[in-house]
Order: sequence, then C-alpha cells, then structure tokens
Amino acid sequence: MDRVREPIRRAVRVSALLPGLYAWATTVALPVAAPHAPKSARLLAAGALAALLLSPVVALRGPLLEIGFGIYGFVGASLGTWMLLHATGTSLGASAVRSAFGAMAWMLFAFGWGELRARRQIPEKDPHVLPGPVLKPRKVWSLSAELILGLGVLGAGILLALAFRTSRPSHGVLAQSLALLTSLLTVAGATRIALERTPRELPTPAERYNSASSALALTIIVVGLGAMFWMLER
Amino acid sequence: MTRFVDMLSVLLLVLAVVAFAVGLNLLADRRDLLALYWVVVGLATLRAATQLLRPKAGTR
Repeated sequence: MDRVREPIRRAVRVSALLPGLYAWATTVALPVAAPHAPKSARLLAAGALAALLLSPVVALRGPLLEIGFGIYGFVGASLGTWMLLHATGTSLGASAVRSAFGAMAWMLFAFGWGELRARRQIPEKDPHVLPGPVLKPRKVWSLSAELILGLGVLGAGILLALAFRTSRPSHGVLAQSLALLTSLLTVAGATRIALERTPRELPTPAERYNSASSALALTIIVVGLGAMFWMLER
Repeated sequence: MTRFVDMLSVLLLVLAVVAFAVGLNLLADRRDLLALYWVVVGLATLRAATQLLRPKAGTR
C-alpha cells in the first residue's frame, strides 16, 4: 500500500467504525440487554462487536480479511442476534426514535465502506490515466433545472415521511415500500424533466403532446372514473 | 408554446407527488382501495409528465 493510499484506508476504517459502533449500541446491544434475552443472542452480539473492532487490526494482513470481519462478520452476527431475539419474542426496538437513529447509523456504516478520495489528490494526475483531450461538460445546468430537481427531492422526502403515518403493523411494510417506490419515481421523473429542460433541440409541442397522449388519456380516464364513482357513492 | 409544455410537465410532476401523498395518507387512514387508486393516478400523471419531455421513437 503506497503512501497516498494509506491515509485514505485509515479514513475509510474510521468512517465505517464509528457509525458501526453507534448502530451496534442502539440496535443490537440495547435489545440484548433486556432481562429475558437469551445468552446465545448476547454471545453473538459480543461477537458482532468483536468483529467490528478487529476489522482495522486484521486490515494490516489484507483487505479481504478486513471486509470479512468488518462487513460479513459484523453484519452476519448482528443479523443472527436479531433472529435469536425474534425467536424468543424479545422486542427489537423499544423506542421508535432510537431505532430510527440506529437505522441512520447502519446507513452511514454502509456508506463508510465506500472509497474516499484524498484531499489534494487529482484523479487525472494518476500515472495510470490514459492521455487524451480534456472532456468538457456538454450542458450547463440552469437555475430552473436545479429548482425542479429540488422540488422532486422535497416531494420524495415528504412521501418518505408520510409512510410513517401508517400505524398498522400489517400495512407498515407496504406503506414504507410504496413510499420508497413513489419517491424514487418522483426523483427520477424530476431529474428527467430537469435535464430535458436544459437548452437542446426539443421536438415540437405537437410531437410532445402526441408522445404523452396515452399517459395523459390514462390519467384523465382514471381520474374521471374515480370522480364518477365518488359521485355515485354520495 | 414550448414554454407552456415545459410548465405543464412541471405541473404534472407536482400533481403526481400530490397524488402519491394523498395515497399514502389514505393508507394510514385505513382506506386501502382508495389509496391504491391515488397511487395509480400518481403513476399515470408522472408518466405523462416525463413523456411530454422525451417523446418515444416513432411519435415524431
């Protein structure tokens, strides 16, 4: 490992280790601390912590060992702990807020395993880069494009938050997955609209109406049927 | 006219988000069928919003 890569590897380890510790404390350690939690679950939880803490140490022997301990060992042992707790009827999340923060920590833990680019390191100056002309962006984002994308992200955020209103356990997963799907579609749609609005050769309005005609007709039909049904029900 | 179509697509995007939000709200209020209906409305509206900007091949 060269001198440039070593600080990056260290940063990666710390950025995965700290959220991992927090995720373990909130979502694994707290449930196993319950009085009636089985001993096997406690042992496995301790194993998960050991795997996480050992990952930077074993990293000196190679990245595969680091990944084996830090990801497979830690996540696998945590999953095993949850399965054992679930089998004995122990609650996995006593507090919704704490569980939400735990979930955030798991997300940061996952991101922490990504590669980080070191400060002052310019990828183009890498000796392995193939020489060629500098690639320049073909388009420049306009303010309106950014506003539309922001609108899409805001809408997606609202949809994700609305899913938490569903309190029925049987419908909770459905609401979450539906919110995730619709928010992803919203961001994808907003991105497409934002990108297509940047200056380029657009088709004529008639062609655009023609292209959207089936989707527009479907919208009108569905809304019309709904309105008719609503009027009949009143 | 082009600007109007652009505005219409943005309006449809907003309406799609509103339809999705109504659907999720109705799901929380235990009105499952109505929730599904609004999600379908949202999907159709979102599809119309994106199709207005990127016509499929063969529609020109």
